[in-house]
Amino acid sequence: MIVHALLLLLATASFLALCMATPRGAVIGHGLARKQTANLRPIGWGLIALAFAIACAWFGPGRGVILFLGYATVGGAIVVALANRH
Amino acid sequence: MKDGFRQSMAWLHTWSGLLFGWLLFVIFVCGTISYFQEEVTRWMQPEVTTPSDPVAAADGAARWLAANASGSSAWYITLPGDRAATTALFWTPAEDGPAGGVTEMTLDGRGNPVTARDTAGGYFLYRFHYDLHYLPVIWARYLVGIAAMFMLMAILSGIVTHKKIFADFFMLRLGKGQRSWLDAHNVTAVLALPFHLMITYTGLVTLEGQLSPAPVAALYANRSEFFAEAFPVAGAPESQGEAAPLASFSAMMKEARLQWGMDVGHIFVSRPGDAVARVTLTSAPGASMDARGKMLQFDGVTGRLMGEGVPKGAVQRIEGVMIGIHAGRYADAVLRWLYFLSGVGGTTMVVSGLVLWTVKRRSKLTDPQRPHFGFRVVERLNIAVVAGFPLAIAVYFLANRLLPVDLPDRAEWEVDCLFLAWLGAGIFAVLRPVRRGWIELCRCNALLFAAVPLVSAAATARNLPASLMSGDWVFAGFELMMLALAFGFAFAANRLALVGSRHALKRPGKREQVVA
Repeated sequence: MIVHALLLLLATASFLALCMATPRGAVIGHGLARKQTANLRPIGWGLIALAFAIACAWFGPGRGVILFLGYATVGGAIVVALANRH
Repeated sequence: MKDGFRQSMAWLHTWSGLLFGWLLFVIFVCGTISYFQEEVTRWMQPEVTTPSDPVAAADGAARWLAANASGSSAWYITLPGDRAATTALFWTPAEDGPAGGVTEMTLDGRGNPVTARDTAGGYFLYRFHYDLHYLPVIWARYLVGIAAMFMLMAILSGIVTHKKIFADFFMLRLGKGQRSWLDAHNVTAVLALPFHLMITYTGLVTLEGQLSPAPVAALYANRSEFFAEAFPVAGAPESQGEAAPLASFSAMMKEARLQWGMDVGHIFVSRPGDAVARVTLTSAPGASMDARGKMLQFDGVTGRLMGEGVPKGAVQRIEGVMIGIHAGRYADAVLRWLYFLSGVGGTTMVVSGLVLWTVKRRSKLTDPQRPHFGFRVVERLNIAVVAGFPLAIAVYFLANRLLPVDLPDRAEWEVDCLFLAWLGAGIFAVLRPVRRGWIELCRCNALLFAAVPLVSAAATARNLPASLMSGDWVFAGFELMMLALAFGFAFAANRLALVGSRHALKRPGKREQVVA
């Protein structure tokens, strides 16, 4: 169960970082300097890769890929809800 | 032809999506519910409360079949498990038996015939998502197959059409009319894009034999020859006329569990009660991504393990995995919910696409008060299907609780109630003004879904608080989902009413523009 929670956390965090790196993401990353947001893109992609690797290592390449995509969808949806909450 | 590649793809996306959009909505709704079809069936048979231990159920089934299906040459037993509570039996009739006799039965976990209300349960919604109803299955599958092809076209052309897939990835501007519908369409399409591609492509794979008959026609003289080679029956040798009792299933199932590390889902017995009997065990659906599962064959009299039954080729196993990924029967509870949520995303994508078609065109109408015929058809079909079909499903669940338990053909009556309610909603959608139609049907849906747990509590011995207290998550989950749907439809109705009236104040005469 912990690995499921970790995957959801990683998926959400990665999309959060990627969202904050976009001009639109200013909604979440309010007040962040341009320099700070520049690092967010590689961090976001790095976290996505990490989630993918953990899912495949833990559940095997078959189920792992499917679970990873499922969590990516839900994580992305959470970030969309956060970014557009106003 | 429109100028430019992207414009052409946008045209293709619009029209391929619209043409089968309503059918795709129904397929998506029923397909999404089908991820919980066993749980829906359990809710629809509240009388079944027996434990669902597969080993005890298998031995119970063997006892019942030996007593009631004598002379049969083949038994097919589908066992209960983590999700389903009943055992389904099918058998071939005895050669000297009466013609047209019963050859199927549902047993509870102890091996006694189920006395619960007659219902098609979640299985009907599952079958409806590719077999439809009231028309020959073969035509229904062609129709669903063509709809899936259009869906695939719409997805691929949609990817090309979407100019800023990464830049607008998180964009969802609410309360901005057409822009909001486009954002909702984009977000639900892009976020669950892997699911949409997978479910459409593998959906076509499940119908592949019918949709692409040429390879079989090129290689085999007729289809039965192909089926005999592709799906050979793991049958027993010719009978010598010597009777012998069938060995107990429990030892075989223990052996299968040892080999697979997973439960048995199906049992096939060839020539039961004969000295040459063979028992083939297939793994439970939750055990393997291959939808056809793993097999083991045993001597039916001694219980000795004989091998893997009929070996499958690589192509069949790959096809089995594709079907398995589509149906998600292998998924545990967490993954099942992820499937379900992605299905909800797909449904939302179809709805927002259909509504967007009208919203986009309404602003360009020469006379918004008197739209042209095609526009009116789309507008009314949107209400009749998007608001009307959920209403029909709520009525299906209510009918399950309200129809007399001893009504003849009860299961078929439940289904008829669904379609009658849908017909009623469709007529309502045609007769009412567009905006009122949406609001009133959404309110009606909210009331009907909220009524499901209440009616169930009044009509059966179970109710939501008791289910929650006893931790019965199948019942509690189902009824909480009904309340969530009721809340969702009430919210949508209020929002539509609010936006409509606010808009009317700002721009009189154009108030319907914001609502599809």
